[in-house]
Amino acid sequence: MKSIIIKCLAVLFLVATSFGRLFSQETKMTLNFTVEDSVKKCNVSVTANDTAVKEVEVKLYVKRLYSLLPIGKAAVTDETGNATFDFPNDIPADLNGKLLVIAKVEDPAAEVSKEVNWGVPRAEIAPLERSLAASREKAPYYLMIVSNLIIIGIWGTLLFVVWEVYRKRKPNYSK
Amino acid sequence: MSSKNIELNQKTTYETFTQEEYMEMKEELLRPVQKIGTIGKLWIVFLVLVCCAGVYAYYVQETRSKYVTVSLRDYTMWGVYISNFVFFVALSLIGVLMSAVLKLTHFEWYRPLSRIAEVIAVAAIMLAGVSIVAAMGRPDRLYYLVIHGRIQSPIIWDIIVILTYISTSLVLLFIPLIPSLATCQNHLHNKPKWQMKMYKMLSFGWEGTPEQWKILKRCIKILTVMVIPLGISIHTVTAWLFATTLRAEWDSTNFGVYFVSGAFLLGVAAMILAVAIFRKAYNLEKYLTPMHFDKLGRALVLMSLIYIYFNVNEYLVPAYKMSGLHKNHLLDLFVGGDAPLYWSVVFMGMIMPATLPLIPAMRKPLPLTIIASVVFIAAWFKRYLIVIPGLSHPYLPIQDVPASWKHYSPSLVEMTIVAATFAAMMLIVTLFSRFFPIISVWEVAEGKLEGKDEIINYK
Repeated sequence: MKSIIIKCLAVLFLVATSFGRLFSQETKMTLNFTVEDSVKKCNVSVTANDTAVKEVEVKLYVKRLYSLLPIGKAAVTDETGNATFDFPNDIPADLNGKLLVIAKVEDPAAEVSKEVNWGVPRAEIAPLERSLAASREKAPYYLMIVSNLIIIGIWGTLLFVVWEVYRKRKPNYSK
Repeated sequence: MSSKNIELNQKTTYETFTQEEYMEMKEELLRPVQKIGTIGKLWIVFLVLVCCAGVYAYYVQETRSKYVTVSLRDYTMWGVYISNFVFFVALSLIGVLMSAVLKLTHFEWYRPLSRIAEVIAVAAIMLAGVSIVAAMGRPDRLYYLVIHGRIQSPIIWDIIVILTYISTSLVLLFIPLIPSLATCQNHLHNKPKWQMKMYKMLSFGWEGTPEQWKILKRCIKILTVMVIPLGISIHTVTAWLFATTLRAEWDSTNFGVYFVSGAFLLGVAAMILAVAIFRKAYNLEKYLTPMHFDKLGRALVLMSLIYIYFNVNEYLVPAYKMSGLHKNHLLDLFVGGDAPLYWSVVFMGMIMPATLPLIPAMRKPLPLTIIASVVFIAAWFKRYLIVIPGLSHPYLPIQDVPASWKHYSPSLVEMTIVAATFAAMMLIVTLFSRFFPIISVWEVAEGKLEGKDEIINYK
């Protein structure tokens, strides 16, 4: 019984170390974009020592401002070491529609990223639009007119009052 | 004797006081300017020392890490500096209520109070500005605010309205002072040359001609009318600084009137304190009479009731709904960690001044001064409760934040600067009262004439 357990442990050790050896060698990932029948597809290929790595879980992401947005569910590589994802058509992008797509394998950690022009370009904000949220130079006209009228009215009255008092001083008071 | 003088003498027979009494009044009201006692000098030295401590604390704050010198963190980013700023802005409305409103509504008892109220207003609004600069962290940010500020931002509205209010209050303080400056120049003696020169220069060659009086009174009237909407604007805009910020506890359409009504209550309490102090310190019992305490006591009740009304709107209406956003903050105030302070402020700062002065004995100088002192302290803590507890419950709470983010208690540096702002305010008022008559001689005299004669007949 004891010898059977030892043999099983030895087999498990050999299997584990062989997998370990496989991934300790440099894992390479490549990312390709294709369009088939108007469907955008993203193909990830995983190799180690020029050998296809099969049955490895691959996850696909798009880079956002602070974090990564997962695209679809994780896919497993086939016998040729390829995993294919359908890419959505509605991901917002920068002004040029460019997206940074990232594919990742978790164990061992490996990733590849590539830019693709598949995003929905962000609409450019009209540069001359005046609003409460706009910059100093783009303040709404109504706000500028009303605030300046109030400021001029109050400061004008204040200066008028000071001038009135100064005007009626004794002519030679400073002498 | 010319026919004009005969006519004038005939008129003076109906006066309520004689030319000699007028001279005596001048002597009495100029006495604090003429002579400063030892206690007066020690008081000034004490205030200067506290101000110096504040300047040193500010130097420490600006030269060392603010994480060490102040207790402000990501949650409570507005601490005692901002609550102190709100307090001083509220205090500055004293000039609006105790001078302008009473003057325009012909409450004659305002006369000895108006200059006290105006000088407190000027000092308070200046120190409100100082509190904001202390809160900014870096003073040069004020410069960037001016050159890059947007007219769409309530912070810019606040800066504009504060500068306008300071200027208007200074002019409103100065113009009625012109005849008093001439009085100082003619009646004070044994004073340094520079001081007499200052009186001469600032009095603009005042001679008290009918035309000069006419212009003076017209200008005072214009400014008095203008300062009321300005004062209300300054505190409303301060309230908007909070109400336009995305915080549940400040998300209120009630905030402007809530702040202004609180400011009027504080203004009456501060006026009672100032009247009591000047009355005792400068022996002005003849001018600041128990009648003034009686009137101010009644005003205190009225202002407390108005403030209670807005507090009911501000707290009980959201408490009835107890929505998720308000719940944490309200429960913290009603039954949580801030409850002792909150209920103390409600009882001491609102319910007590609304009820006790209803008893005539409580409107006597001493009891009313004690009540006003309690209201004054409660008013400062009320601003603390408006600014700080709500910040502990942000819209997006973060997990595992440091303990120092959750509980704010002001550091020694912050409290020293706050103490210095109070000392500076009192120093401005004290120094003013030592260089200029704190009660306007001509305004009091005019009130005594009761419309039977013109003040221009008195020299």
